[in-house]
Amino acid sequence: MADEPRLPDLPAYLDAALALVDLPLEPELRPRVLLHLGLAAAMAGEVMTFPLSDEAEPAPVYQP
Amino acid sequence: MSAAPEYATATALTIARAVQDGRTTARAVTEAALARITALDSSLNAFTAVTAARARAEADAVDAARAAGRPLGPLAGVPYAVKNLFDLQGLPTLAGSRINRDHPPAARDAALVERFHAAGAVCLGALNMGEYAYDFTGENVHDGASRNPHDLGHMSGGSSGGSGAAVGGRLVPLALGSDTNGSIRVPSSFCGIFGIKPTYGRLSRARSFPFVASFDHLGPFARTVADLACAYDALLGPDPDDAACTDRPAEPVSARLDEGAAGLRIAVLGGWFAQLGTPAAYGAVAKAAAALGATRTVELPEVGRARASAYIITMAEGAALHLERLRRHPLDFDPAVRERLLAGAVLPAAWVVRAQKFRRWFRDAAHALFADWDVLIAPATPVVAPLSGQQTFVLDGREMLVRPNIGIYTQPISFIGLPVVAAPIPGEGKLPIAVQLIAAPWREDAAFRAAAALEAAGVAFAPEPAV
Repeated sequence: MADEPRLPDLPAYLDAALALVDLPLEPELRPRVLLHLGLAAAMAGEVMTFPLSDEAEPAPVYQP
Repeated sequence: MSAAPEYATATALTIARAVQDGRTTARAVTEAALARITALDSSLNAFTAVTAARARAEADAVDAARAAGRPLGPLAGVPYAVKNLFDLQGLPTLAGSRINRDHPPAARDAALVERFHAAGAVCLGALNMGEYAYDFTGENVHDGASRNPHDLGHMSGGSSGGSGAAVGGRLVPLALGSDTNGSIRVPSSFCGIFGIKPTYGRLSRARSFPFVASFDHLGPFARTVADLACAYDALLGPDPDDAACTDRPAEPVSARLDEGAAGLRIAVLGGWFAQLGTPAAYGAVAKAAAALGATRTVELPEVGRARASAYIITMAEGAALHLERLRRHPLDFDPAVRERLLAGAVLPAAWVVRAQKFRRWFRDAAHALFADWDVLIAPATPVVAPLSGQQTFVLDGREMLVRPNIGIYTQPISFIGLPVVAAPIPGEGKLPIAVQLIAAPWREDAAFRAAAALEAAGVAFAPEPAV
């Protein structure tokens, strides 16, 4: 089995997730949305690989 | 009523003093401003609505108050206009969109418009902006692009493009805008004017159309530091109608401008902020640093991750705001906005939560840096205004997309809500550029004082427009 990480199947994910949230997307715009989703995935890669403790609080703290 | 053309391009404080002293009237100033808008806005495309009747009524009320011997406000008779995401009573709040044109007229002015009104200012209308504020270019597919007053073929900057064009083009001395990831600082840079993005929570956002609740800020634009300070002071104060608005007492800055930069510890931000820029951006920072005696370069850690986190949160919160409109009116959006919102609508929740946790980490890192420094200097934009419609530019030898990368220096700063004065530092070319003067939370006074020192040194100023 190859060691390199598998690239996520962004087109399949996009189609399934858009169906879940009930949003229309015409075929002509789909490549552009995939471009932005790919960009977000790259950004998320930076965010998710930064080590944070289990106790780290999100910035907005609810005040009842 | 005759106009007072000598005040058509005057600063806000010049106008206010002349009205207070009776050397002119608010109505005459208003007529002069309306005439200038009529003459020039077909070129600049800054306004989407000119509220002439409202302006005349407000001006007449100021003049009547003076005639009756009542005290006048600090902005008596000063014309201004607002990005069209601020509620103006009687107009639908467009937020740059086609979809909102069907909204009912606003029942009440935005909180900051009410505060300008209380200070005696006169509202001349609503200003062009990028659709739903998701924009750095000042272009708008529904209303057309607002244009750069120093070269009509170039971008005004977004998303408060009309605000930048109107103040830079001297149609009005003051304007209001919003800044989520850079939308006050980018037009300030491209149009060569001063702007303040205050501390997150400083100024009320009540009755303005939102974009990203975590990062939305409102603030004024002006052509001088004293005008900007006077406008900012008039906008201060708590407001229970904005959940994020601070209940700290107002901390006005106008009386502190004369202190200049004396005693302020000022450094240049390196690292991320010294990469991907052009010589124009670095030159402006060098000039500002020299004038302010800033000899040290310091770094914020993990700025790339900060920008990435801001990007993720923006996409997700923006998409959540517009979900129903994306369902019901998909083809009424600007496709360049809709394509990003659709991607934002499907981001895994863990990414967003993690980005909000990183936001607190990055805030703490910034607090540590501000233990040693009062003001940090950084470029506002990597480039002077690109050509209208330009899709790519070359930064550090790499061809990159214009739209997402205009805000590389502004986005990590608004991410943690730091106050910033954008100060224009014109160079040798006809297109200006600005620096960011970044202060610790709630220390707008330090950023204003640094800007005043740059202005006094002749380094920061709003250049004459070409229109």
